[in-house]
Amino acid sequence: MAGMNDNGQWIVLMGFLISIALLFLMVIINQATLVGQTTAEGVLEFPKYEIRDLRTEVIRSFREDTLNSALYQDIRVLSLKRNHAIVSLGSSPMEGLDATMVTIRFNNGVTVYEETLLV
Amino acid sequence: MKDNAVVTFDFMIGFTIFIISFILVAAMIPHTLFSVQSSRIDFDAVAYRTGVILTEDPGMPASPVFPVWEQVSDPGDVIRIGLAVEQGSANILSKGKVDRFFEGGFFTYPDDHRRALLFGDYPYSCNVTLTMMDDHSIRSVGPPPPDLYGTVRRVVVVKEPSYLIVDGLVHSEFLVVENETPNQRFSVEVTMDQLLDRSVDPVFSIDPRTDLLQIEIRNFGEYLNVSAPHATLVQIIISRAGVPITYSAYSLWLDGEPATLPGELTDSLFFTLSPVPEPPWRSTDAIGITFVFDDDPPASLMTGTHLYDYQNATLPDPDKAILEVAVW
Amino acid sequence: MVGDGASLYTIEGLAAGLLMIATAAIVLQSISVYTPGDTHIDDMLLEQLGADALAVLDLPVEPDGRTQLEVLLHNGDDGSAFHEAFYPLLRMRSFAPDDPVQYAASISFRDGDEGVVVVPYTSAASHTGAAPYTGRDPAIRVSRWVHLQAWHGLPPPIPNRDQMALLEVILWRG
Repeated sequence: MAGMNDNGQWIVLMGFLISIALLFLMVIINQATLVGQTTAEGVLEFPKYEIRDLRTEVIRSFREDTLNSALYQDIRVLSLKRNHAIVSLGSSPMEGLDATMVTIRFNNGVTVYEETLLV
Repeated sequence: MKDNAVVTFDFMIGFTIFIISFILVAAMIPHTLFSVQSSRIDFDAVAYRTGVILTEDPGMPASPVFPVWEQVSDPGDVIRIGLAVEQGSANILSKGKVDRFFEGGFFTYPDDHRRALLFGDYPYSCNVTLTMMDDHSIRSVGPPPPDLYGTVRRVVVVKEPSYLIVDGLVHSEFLVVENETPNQRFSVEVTMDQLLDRSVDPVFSIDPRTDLLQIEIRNFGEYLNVSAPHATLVQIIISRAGVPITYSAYSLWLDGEPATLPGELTDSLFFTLSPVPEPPWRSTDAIGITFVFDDDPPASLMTGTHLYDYQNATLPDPDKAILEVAVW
Repeated sequence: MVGDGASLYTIEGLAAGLLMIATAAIVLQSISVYTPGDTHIDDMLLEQLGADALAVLDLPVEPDGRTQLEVLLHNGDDGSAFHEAFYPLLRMRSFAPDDPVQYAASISFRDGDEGVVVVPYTSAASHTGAAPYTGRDPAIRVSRWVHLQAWHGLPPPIPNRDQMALLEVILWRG
C-alpha cells in the first residue's frame, strides 16, 4: 500500500489467518456450551416431578375422600412458600355419574399446568 | 485530474465484498458445525432423553394389533423401546419388557437401539445397565463405554407378574364335600372388569391382555383320593364368557417338570397363561381356566372355582433397581 | 482543489477501524463465557436422581395402602430407616464403585393460616460421618408431598393433626 514498507507480508497474513481462526473457534465453543445450557435449564426449570407428585396426591385424596379445607390450605401455602408455585384445586360432582370432576392448576411463573380429570 | 485515488475505490469494493462474505460465513458456522459441538454435553442430553424413554414410556409397537411391543416377533416392528408398565407409570418397569430388552437375540445391537431408542442422525452408541438393589445382579446391553461418554442414572422398580396360589393345606374349600361325586374339574375365573379397575395403582394392576397370569396348585396330595397314587390332568379348557375358545399360549409344569397333556401329578401344578397379540378377551369378559382330571379312576377330589382377583392373587414386592444409561 | 495524495492512508485507517470494530463487536457478543461446569448438566442429572429416588420410595407398598415413605414417617422414624432406604438409591452405580452424593432432608409444615415452619429431618452427615452441607458445593433441591395422619410418630414441633407436609431434600456431591 501507499508508502508502506512491504517486508514481512507473510507474517501479517499469518497473523490475520490465526486471528480469524481464533474468532471461528470462539463462536463455535460459545454456541456449543449454549446447547448444553439450554438442555439442562429446560429440564431444571420444568417442574415435571412437582406436578406429577401433586397430581398423584390430589387424585389419591379425592379417591379416598380425605381432602378437606385444612389439607387444601396445606398444599396451597406450602406450594407457594416452599416451591414458589400457585396451586389451585377445584372439584364438582358429575351429574348421573359416580365420579368427581377435578381441576388442578399449577403455575410457578415459568410453567403453567392445568388439568381436568374425572376421579 | 489525477487518477491516484482509483485504486482506493477498487480497494473499498474488494474490502466490502470480503467483509460481507466474512459475516455470512461467520453466521453459517454454527449450522455447518452442528454435529461437532461440544460432545460431552450432547451425549449427556441424549443419555437423559434415552433414560426418559426407557423409564417413563411404555414403548410403541408398529401395529395397533399388538397391545404392547414385547409381544411382537420381529424387532423391526418396534417403533420405540420403552420399559414402563403403562402410560403415566414413570419409574415402574415391566418385567416382561425388561427381559425382552436385555435378552440377547431379540434386538440387534446397535441397529435396533439406534433406530428405536437413541434416535437422531448421528450414530450414537449406548450401554444400558440394570442393577438390582436386592441381589446386586447386573444385566447389560452394549459394549463398555469409552473414556468420554454422557451418562444418566435412574431409580426404578421392576414389577413382576402376579400369581394365584391354591394350597392344599390352606384352601380346603376346594375339597369335594363328603358323599358327593367329584366332578374332576377345578376352575379359575379371571374377571376382567374387576382387574381393569382404573383406580388401582399401576404398581399393583393386573391386565390379562398384557400380563402373564400364573396359577400354582401346591400340596396337591391333599386333594388326592387316598386310594389313588396320582391324578391325571387330561384337558385344560380356556373359555371366554363361558364359551370355550382355542388358546394355546400357555405352559404347564407338573410336579416341577415341564409337561404336556395328558400328564400325571401328585404334588404340584404350575400353569402360566401368556398374553397374545389381538387378545380374544374384551375388557368386560370373564376368562375361565378349567383343569379337567381323568375320572377313571376319580383320583382328584378338587372342585369349585377360584377367583383370580386383587384379593386372591399375589404380586411379588417390586424390586428396586438402578438403570444406568451411557451414550457416546 | 483538495489534495488527494493521502487518500490511501485514510482508507487504510478506515479499514483498520472497521476491522477492529467488527472484532470488538463479535467479542462483545460472545463475552459470556460458559464452561461446561456452568451448564447445569450435573445439576440436572442430580435433580433427576433425587426426584426418582423419592418417587420410588413414595410408591404404595400394598394396594390402597400407604407408601414406604409414609409408613416410615408414621412409625416415628428418627431418620435411620429413611437413610437406609434413600441413601443406597443415590449412591449405587454399576460402572463405577460409588457416586459421592450427599443429602440433607427436612420437613416443612403449615403453621397457622399462612406460616410455614421447616424442621430438619435427617441427613447423610448424621449417619455416615460425612461433612455437613457447607453451602459451597452446587446443590439442588427436590421435594415430595407426604400425607401425615394425626397419629404420625414424628417428633415435635410437627403438630399432630391430619396434614399435608412437604419433605424437602437437598442434594450435592461431596
